Order: sequence, then structure tokens, then C-alpha cells
Amino acid sequence: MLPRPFQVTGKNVETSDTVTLELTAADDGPPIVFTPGQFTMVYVFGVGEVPLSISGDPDRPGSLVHTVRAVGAVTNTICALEPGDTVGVRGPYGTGWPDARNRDLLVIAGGIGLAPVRPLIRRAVAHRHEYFSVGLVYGSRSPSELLYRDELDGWRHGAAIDVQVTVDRGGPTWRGDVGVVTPLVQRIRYVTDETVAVICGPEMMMRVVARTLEDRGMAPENIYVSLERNMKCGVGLCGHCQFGSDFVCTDGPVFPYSHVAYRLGIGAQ
Amino acid sequence: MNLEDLRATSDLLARLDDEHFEMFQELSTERDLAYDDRLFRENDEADEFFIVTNGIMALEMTRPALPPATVQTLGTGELLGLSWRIEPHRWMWTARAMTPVRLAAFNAAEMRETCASDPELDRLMWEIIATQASKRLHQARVQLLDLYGKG
Repeated sequence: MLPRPFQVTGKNVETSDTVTLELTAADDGPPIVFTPGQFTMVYVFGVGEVPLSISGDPDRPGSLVHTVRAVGAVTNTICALEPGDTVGVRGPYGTGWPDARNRDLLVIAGGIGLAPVRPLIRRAVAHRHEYFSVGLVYGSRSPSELLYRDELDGWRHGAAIDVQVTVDRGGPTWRGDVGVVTPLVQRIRYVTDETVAVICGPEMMMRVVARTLEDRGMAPENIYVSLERNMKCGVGLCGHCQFGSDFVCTDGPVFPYSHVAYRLGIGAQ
Repeated sequence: MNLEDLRATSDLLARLDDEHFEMFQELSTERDLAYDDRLFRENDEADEFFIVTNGIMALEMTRPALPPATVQTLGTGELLGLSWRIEPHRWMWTARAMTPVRLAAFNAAEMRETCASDPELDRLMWEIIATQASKRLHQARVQLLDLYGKG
């Protein structure tokens, strides 16, 4: 439960409010080996601790990568960190995305939700021959808020991945799709009851996309979502992230849609 | 891709039985557009409708002193054009190719006439148009929620 010291060794500004930080252990402890979809608890000394999905390469456990959006006091401070600064890290925690090797894999992400699925995509890119079709449908607010733009182009052109991107509002120079992600999901031809679909983004978007996939004939057991709740301890002790009979920090954050579909339909009272 | 290739995945074509699908094939003509070609213009007569068989089309609205605003894009397998069936048969948007595009084009007057003599096709076409209009309304409402914002 004690945080280990990690030093910021790299920083990339993704958008006006989102940065990607590379962290390296500043102690003699082991590297953080993780499964795509897992998260760590990152502690900014004197400010607070937040759960952050790991967005780096699972084949490079020595480098812990987080993409962070500034939405509150702790994440504002994290986004302002510079190389050389130190934070505390606990984890990795939680469940990961399913193993989709020898199957078709369809990833659907919205907004900052691309970060938690990036390790899964990177693994599929690095071991492309182990998967059948691999597709990514990514929705964002505007072209300027797209994450990992260079990497998206690389996946599209060099990794035999079907990458489709849409934005809510294109600008005069935007040459891609405009609108929500569901019509793009509809265009994917290899959606079958054997496809594994992973969805990460705002909860309302995940519900709509999951229903679209069900309408296409996918079994809800093959659809996975990543939930975000108020995680504090990360290890299932405090109960802050309780979601019905589950703790999101230990039973999730990745759940089969079949397990949470009913509860996702129940909004806050 | 042709209409046959798209039949399984296009929710429009999937609704047609074999007889009406064949009729669709017979009534369609191929149309190719280069990038940035305009297919039709806002307020012009809606005398055709289309199924996108390859590429991406944008629906846009012109703005004074600004580039046109794209409100939605339509891709492979999607129906382009609802106004041909709804009075006063005028396009509500301008349609422009965002990539090289291939379309299956249908003459609106001919299809309306065919529908008038085939009540089953007429019912199917209304069902298809209502489904598309409902989906697009839902998508527009979801977009209004600004899901990817910080809220």
C-alpha cells in the first residue's frame, strides 16, 4: 500500500488540457508489469492521489506511461509536472482487457478513453499475426482534441489496423468523419458473434455503442467496458468505488458488458 | 463495393427481400465523385437519392464569410438523401465528397412511381426512411450532450 517513488522522465503535451507522462522508478524495486486495462494510483505529494489508467507499452514494463487530462486539483498538478519531478505510485491494480488473440478485435474509444486501450492496441500492433482483423473506432470532440495523432496515422498506414476516426465538430481543414461513433461501428464488416469488442469512453457512449454491437449480433459476453468510479484505496478495502455487488478497483475497471449492462442503465438518483 | 457486397451490413439493404433488392439493383446507376466534388446543393430539387458504395460524403451547410460547416458524414452502405420522399422534395443540406466516392444513384420520380404501384415497397421505403431519420435524430441528440467534454 506504500507508494513507490517514480520520477517524471518524459512529457508530451497531447492537447490543451491533456499530457502524457513517462515515469521511471526512482527506487530499486521491480518494474511495473501490467496487463492492458489496469491502472495505478498516482500520488502527488501534498496534493492527493488519483487512479490513472496505464497507457504505455505492455512490452516495456520499465517505463510507466500515463495520459492525464486536467479535470481537478490533483490532475491539474500532474499535468503541470516536468521531467525531474517525483510522484508516488501504487499498483498496478484492477482487471485488464480480455485476451483477443486468434480472434477479431474491435476497439471503440471516445475522448480520453483512447488512453486505457492504447496498451491493448500496441500489443496487437506488436503481435499483429496473433490476431485476425483488428479495428479501432475513435471519437473525439474536435480534431485538436485527438490523442496520439501521429500514432493513429502509424497504426492506420503501417500496422494493418482499420482505424476510423470521427469528431463532433470538424474544422475547415478536417477531412475525416463528423458525427458520433455508432455509424462507424455500423460500417465495420467483421463484427460477428466471435469478435471481441472493447469500449472505453464516457459511460453514455459505451452504453450506446454496446447496444449497437448487440443489434449487430454480438453476444454481450464478448463486449467489454471500462468503468470509472470514485476509486480511493485501489485494493477493495475502502468501498468508495462500490458498484452494486462489485468494487470497480478490484472486480474492474474492465467488466464484461453482460455483467454490468443492467446496472449501467440505472442512472444516479 | 457493389450493392450485393453491401447487402449483409447495410441496414437499409438488409431490409429488402430478394425481389425488391433485385429491383433496387435494376433501378440504380453508378456515379463516381472526385474528392471535393459537390453532389447536390442545399435547397435544390431532391430528384435523386443515393447509397454510398465506397468513400465518405459530407452533409454541410453554407455559412456567410466562413467555410461550410459539416454536420454529418455518411460512409459505405449508408443512405444519402431522405428529402426525395418528403415534401417539398428539396435538399436540406449540401452534399460533398470528402474522399473519392462511388454511389449507387436512384431516380426519385421513378422510385416514387414504382412505390405508388407497389404498396409493399412503399411501406418498406417509409420504414427505411423513418428508421434512418430516427437514428440520425438520436445521433444528433447524443452529439448535443458533448460527451467528450469535462462535464
